[in-house]
Amino acid sequence: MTQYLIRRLILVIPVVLGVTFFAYSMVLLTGDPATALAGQHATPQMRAALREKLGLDDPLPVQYGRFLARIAQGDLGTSLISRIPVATELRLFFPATIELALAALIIAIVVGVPLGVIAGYKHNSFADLGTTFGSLIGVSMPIFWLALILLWIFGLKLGWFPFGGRIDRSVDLQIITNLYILDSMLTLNVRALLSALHHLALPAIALATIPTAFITRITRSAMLDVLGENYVRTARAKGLEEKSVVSRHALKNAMLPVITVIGLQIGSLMTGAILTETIFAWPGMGRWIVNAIVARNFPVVQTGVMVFALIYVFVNLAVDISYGWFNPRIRYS
Amino acid sequence: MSGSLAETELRGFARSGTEDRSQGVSRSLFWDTLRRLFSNKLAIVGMLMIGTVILVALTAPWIASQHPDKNGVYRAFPQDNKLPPSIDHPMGTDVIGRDMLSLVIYGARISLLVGVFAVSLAIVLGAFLGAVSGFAGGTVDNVIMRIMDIMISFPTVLLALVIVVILGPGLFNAMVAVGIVAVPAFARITRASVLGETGKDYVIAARSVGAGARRVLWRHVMPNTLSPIIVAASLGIATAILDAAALGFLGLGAQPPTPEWGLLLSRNRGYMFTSPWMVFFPGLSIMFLVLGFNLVGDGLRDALDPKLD
Amino acid sequence: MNELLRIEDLQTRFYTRDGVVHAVNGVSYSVSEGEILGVVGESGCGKSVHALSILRLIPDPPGRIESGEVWFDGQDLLTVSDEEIRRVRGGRLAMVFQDPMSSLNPAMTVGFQIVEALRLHLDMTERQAKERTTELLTTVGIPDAKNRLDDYPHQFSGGMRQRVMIAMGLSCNPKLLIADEPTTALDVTIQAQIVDLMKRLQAELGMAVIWITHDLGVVADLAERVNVMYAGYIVEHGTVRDVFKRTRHPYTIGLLGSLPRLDEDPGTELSAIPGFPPDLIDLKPGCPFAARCPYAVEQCWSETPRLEPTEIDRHTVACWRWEEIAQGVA
Repeated sequence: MTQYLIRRLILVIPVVLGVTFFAYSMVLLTGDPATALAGQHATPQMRAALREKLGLDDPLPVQYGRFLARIAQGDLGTSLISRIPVATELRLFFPATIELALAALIIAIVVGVPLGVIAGYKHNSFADLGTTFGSLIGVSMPIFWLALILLWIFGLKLGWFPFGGRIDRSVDLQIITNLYILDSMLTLNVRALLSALHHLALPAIALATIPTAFITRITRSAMLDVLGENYVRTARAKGLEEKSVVSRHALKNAMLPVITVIGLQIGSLMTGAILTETIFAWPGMGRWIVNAIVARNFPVVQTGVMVFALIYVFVNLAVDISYGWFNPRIRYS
Repeated sequence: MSGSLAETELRGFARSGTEDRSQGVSRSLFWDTLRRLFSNKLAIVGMLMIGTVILVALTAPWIASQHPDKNGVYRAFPQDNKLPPSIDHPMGTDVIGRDMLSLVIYGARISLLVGVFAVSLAIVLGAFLGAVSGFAGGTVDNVIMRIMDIMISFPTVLLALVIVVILGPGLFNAMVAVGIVAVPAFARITRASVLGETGKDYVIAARSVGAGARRVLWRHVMPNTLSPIIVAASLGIATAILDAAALGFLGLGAQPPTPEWGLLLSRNRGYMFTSPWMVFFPGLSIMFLVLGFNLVGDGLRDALDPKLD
Repeated sequence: MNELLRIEDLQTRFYTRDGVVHAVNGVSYSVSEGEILGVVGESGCGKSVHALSILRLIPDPPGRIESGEVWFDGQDLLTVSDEEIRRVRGGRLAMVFQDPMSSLNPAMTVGFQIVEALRLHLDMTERQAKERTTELLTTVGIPDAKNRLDDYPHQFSGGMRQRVMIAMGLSCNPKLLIADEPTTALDVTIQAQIVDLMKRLQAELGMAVIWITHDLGVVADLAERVNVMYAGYIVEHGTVRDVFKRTRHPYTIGLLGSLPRLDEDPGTELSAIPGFPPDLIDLKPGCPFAARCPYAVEQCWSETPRLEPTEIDRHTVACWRWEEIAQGVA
C-alpha cells in the first residue's frame, strides 16, 4: 500500500507545478501588472521602472522560479485593494469556505449514498423513480437560482433561517481557527455554536443539492451494476440476509465509482461555493476571488486560483488512494 | 449488468435465428439506437422540452409581446414596473416595466446559442487534441494529457471566469470560455476511443491487409467513437448553459441589455423579496432547458450502450 | 437409501421485454443421500436455472418460479419462509458456481468469505472459524492454507479459486452440494483435478452431489445417475451406464453420437445434430426436440411427451417412439 501511495504522490507533482505555473502566468495574460499597479497617472518611465523592480522583464521560467520561492516562504503578495498581505486574508476567508464546503459534502454523502442504495436495490419502485427524478432535477438547476429560492422560502416566507452572514452579530465568539463550528465547540460556547449552525444550514443545504443529486445517481447506478454480479448471488447462496448482502458484499464494490464522483463533486462544491457565497453574503474565498477578479486584484486572484486548484488536486489524490483500499487489485498492480 | 449465467444463456438462446445480420454494422447500429432512444419515455420528454424551447426561440418575433430594437434594447414602461404575473404579463414585469415573458423568450435564443456554440467549440478542439494524443502516443500524448489534467484541476466556473477576465467580459467571450473549459472532457473521450479501437484485433487485421482499412475504420471505429461524444455533447450543452448563466449571474458573461437568463437573475436579485417572479422565471427557464438536455443525454447513453443485448 | 431431495414439476419462467422465456418446464426427479447425480445438456437447456430455482435464487423480477415442489429434508423449499430458506442455503444445501473469479467477492479476502459462512451457520467464534477455514482450504488442496486466508481472490489461479469456492460450499457440511458447471471455465488438466477432488470429498463426507455440466465425459467419470435436459425438460433419466450404453432418447443418441471416440476410425466424420434448439419464448406444444428429430411423427408435434419408464429398471425417457427406436423399427 505504501508503494502505491508513493507512486501516486510522485504523479501529482507535475500537475501541482503546472497549476502553480498557470496561476502565475495567467495573471500576465490579463494585462500588464505593472500598469495596474502603477495606476492611471503613471508615466511610461515609472511603469518601466516598476516592471524592472518587479522583475517582469526577466524570462518566464525565472519569474516563475522566483514566484515559487516566494510562496515557499509563505509570501503570497499583498492585496492591491486592501493592502493587507494576501496570506492574512487567505487565513480569514479560507476556513469559511472550507466550513461551508465540508458541511455541504457531509450532507451530500449522508443523504445521497443511502438514497442511491435504496433506489438501486428497489429498482423500478416508486422510491427508485422518485429519487431518479429528483436527482435529475437537482443536476439541472442553476445553483444560484436554487439558493435564491431556498432563501425566499425558508428565509423570508417561513423565517426559519437568517438571510446571510456566518453568525448572529450579537454573539461573541473567540476565534481560533476561524471555523466557527469548531471554535464554538473548543470554547464551549453553546450559543455561538447554535447560531453558527443556524447560519450555516441554508447555504450548506443549497450548496449540497447538486452533489447530492450526482451522488445519488451514481450510487444507484453502481448498486444496480453490482447487485447483478455473480458474487452477490454467491453471497445469497450462502444464506446471508439481504441486509448483509447489500451492506457488506455489494456496497464495498459499488463504492469505487461513488468515490470517484464524490471526488469530482469537490470541484462542483467549489464552483457552487463561489456562487452560493455571493447570495448568502458568506465571507469566504468565493466572494473574495470574484471581487478580486473584477477589480483586477492580481495577487489575490493568483492565490485564490492556486488554492482552489490545489485543493482539487489533493482531494483527487485522496480519492485515488482510497481506490487502493476499496479495490485490492489496484494495490498490487 | 453482467447478470447470472442462466440469464445470459437464456437471452442468447431466445434470440437465436431472429437477428438480421445482413446489414453492415453501422447501419443497424444507427437504427437500433434510434429505436431504443424513441422507446425511452424520459428521452422523449427531454426532446419535447428542447423542441419547445427551440420553437419559442425561433418564433420569438411573433409570440413575444415586446421586442428589442436594433440595439437590443427593450423599451421601458416605468408605469408598469414590478407587476406580478397577470394575463397581460404572464411572467410579470421587471423593475423598469419590461415584460418578463418577452425577455425570457428572447433569452431562449441566447441560451441555445451559447450551449451549441460552446459545445461545438469544445468538440472540435477536444476531439482534435484527443485524436492527436491517441494516435501520436508517446511524449505528445503525455504533454497533452498533462495539460488536460491541469485544466480539470480548476473548478469549471473559476476557469471560465479566468478566461473571461483574460478575454474581457461579454457574451461571445463567455461562450468561448465555457467551450474551452469543456475541452478536456472531449479530449479524454476521443483519446480513449482512439486508443481502444486501434488496439482491437479487427483494426490490426484490417491494417495488416492494407486495403479496406479505411472503410473498416469508418464503419466500426467511427460509430464507437461517436457514441460517447454524442452523449457527452448533450450533457455538455446542459453544463454549458449552466456555466454561461453562472457567468452572466456574476456579471462577466452577457452584458445588459441582453436578456440572458443568468444575467436577468442577477440584475433582479435585489427585488427578489418583493417581486420574486422576476427571479423565479428566468431560473425556471434555465432549469427547463438544461433538464431537457440532461434527459436526452441520459436517453442517448442508454440507447447507445446496449448492455442488455 | 433415503431420499434427500425430490423435485416435482418445477416450472420457472422469465418475463422479459421480448416475451416470456419458458426456462424450466416441468422438471421432476429425486436424489438420494450420498448419491451423485449428473445433469447434462447444452447451453440454455435450463440446467442452471432449475438449480437456482431449488434454492430460490432466481432474480424476481424478471424471473419467477411458477409452480412445483422442491422437497428437501422434509420441507418444500419453494414455500418455506425467507428466514428458513436462508438457513438452508449454504448450510444443509450448498451451491458452487461456474466462474470463480466473478463468483467470489473481489474486495474481500478468501478467508473472510468462508469464515462468514461458518459463523453464520455453525455459530463459531472468529478463531474457530479461522481454524476450520484453514482446514477446509487444506482439504481442497490449497498449499500453505494458513497464510492464504488473507489473500484476495485475484491472487489465486483459476483452479485454486474454484477449490476455494468448493471449500466454501463444503464449509458447513451440507447434505447436498449443487455444483453448477464448476469446471467449465477451467482448462482440461485442472478440470480433471477438480473432478478427482470432488470424488474424494464426496466419498469422505458422504454428501449428495448434483453436478451440472454440458460435458458428457465428466458425467461419465463422476456421476452415478444422470438427467439429460433439453429446452427446459428432462428427456432422459437413468444410471450413467444405462443412459450411455442403452440410450433411449433421440436427443441423447445424437449427443453421444456427436462425441469423438477413441475407438473409432480417425477419419470418421463427427455427426452433429442438425438444426437449433427451440425458441423458449415461443415454446410450442409437442416434443421440444421434434424439429430436429429424425424419428418425429405427427404425435410428436402435437403432444408433449412425459417421462415414462422403460424396460430398464429406473430408466425413464420422454419420447413417444422410444420402444420403436430401441427395437430399431422406427
